[in-house]
Amino acid sequence: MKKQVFADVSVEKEEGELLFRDASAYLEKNQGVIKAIVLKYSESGLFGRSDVDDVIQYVNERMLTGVLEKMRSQYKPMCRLMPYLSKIVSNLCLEYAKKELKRNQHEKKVDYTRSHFGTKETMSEDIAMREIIEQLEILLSLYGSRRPRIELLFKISLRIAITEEDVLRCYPKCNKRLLNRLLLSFNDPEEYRMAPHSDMYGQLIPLINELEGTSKTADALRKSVDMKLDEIAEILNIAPINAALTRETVKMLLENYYSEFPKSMENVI
Amino acid sequence: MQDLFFDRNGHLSDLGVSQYVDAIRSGTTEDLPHELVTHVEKCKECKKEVLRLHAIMADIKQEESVPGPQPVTPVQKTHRWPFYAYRIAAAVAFFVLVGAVAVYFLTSTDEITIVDEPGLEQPLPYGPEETPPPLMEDEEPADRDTEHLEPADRDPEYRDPADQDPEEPEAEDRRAEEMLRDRYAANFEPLTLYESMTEQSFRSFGLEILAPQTGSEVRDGVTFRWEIRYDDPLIVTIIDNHGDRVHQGTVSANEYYFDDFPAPGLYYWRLETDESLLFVGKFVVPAL
Repeated sequence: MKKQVFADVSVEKEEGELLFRDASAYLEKNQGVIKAIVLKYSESGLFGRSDVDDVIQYVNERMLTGVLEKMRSQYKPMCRLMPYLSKIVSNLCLEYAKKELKRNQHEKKVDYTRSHFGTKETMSEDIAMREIIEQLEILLSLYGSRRPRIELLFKISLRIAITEEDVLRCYPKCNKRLLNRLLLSFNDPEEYRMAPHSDMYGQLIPLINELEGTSKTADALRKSVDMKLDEIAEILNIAPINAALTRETVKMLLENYYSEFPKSMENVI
Repeated sequence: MQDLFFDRNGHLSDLGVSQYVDAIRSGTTEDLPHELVTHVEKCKECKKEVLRLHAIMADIKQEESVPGPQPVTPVQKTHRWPFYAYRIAAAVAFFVLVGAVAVYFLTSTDEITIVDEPGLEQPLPYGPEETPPPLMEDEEPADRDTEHLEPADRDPEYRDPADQDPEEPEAEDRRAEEMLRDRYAANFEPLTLYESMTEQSFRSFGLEILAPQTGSEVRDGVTFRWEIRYDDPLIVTIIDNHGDRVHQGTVSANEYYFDDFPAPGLYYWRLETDESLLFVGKFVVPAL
């Protein structure tokens, strides 16, 4: 991956020079990128297919009437230009959609031909699901140092067998006694599969409190897990991912994810 | 560096988001400024922005790897066209419109109408063999002079309803049905995530679903029936194919009835305890 970055350095430099020398030519050269982003949002249902040309035109007009100038003033050569341009185009697409939404609400228009969520007609379900799982993996990586704890709690609440690595990644200084107690309680999901959630959290909270030096209640722990599940749903529901998730379906997605990538955490971190 | 990657509200700036995504894509997140990483760890909104840009850029790998600018050739010059096309097309359209309006005012008079013209057989704007373009819903017929005429006089191809082929009403019904189906087509698109969960039993409690059959059509309401070894109340949730909740109810019996569907379409239903999902099924409310 790094090799690719170095290979692109000269391209980046030329692109940067072009942006400052002739902004219109830079915009013209990147019409393919603009179109790809607009199509991506269109596929996700942010706006209809028939709006694609209008959105491209809107992006170009906004670019030529101030946005390119702003880009030039804010861009720093140490950063790569392509992700920055993509972010700006993405902002303009969202801006267009917001304006259209307001206009449609005002006119009380209902467009039955428009799909508002990610139906992705041209994609097979497998590909769409793979994309969502890929985004989930990136999202989990964004939790950084908090990720091991979040994932340990997810696995326990989903009755997925936890391993010694799961515990030690989260609590590197966990002693043998506590480690054994955690593994004994939550290493065999079949044993605690039928137990209600309240029992499971009741069993878990003394161990967590001892490991973290806190005095939380089982209910507080359950709530914090639920909130994190809701947060994942909310983030994965944004355009253009549009996963249409709820707390319950996030659980399914995580079960799917852990069954497919049981050791994904090691690969990503 | 702090000012560069953060906006006035303390969230990631556009440059900050793009820098983060670039690092994910190039596998160099460990080189990111510490403040950037720790902020994203804690901030939900910035996670959204990073993930959004990452999802968008997933599809523009090809464009990104295009080599640097080549010497301009005539072939490349043609690439200029799409960019200026909007303005050129707008200018051409403007002149055509002005020309058309000018021709109309120069040639039309009050005395001459198409009805009065002896050469009615001459080609109409949309062609003699083609059917006239359909009127919009609120549009009125352009030629009001023909209103007083008998239907047979107005349209040379007019046929009395009594003489019509008895199969024609059926054809009209078919067309109406097709139109209705087209109108609601988006309501029948499957929802990827729910499709993958349909028919799986997640937390069984000996659950057996008796009705409705997966994918079956329900016309006058639907009765959900099941058998389960679980004493507490269950929650029935009905979801449309956009993932939006249409209805939710709590039930202590082993069946639940619902008939207030907002529109025809594909619906999913979930059976849950207050802690976990038991079953996901689907059914169709047909357009007719």
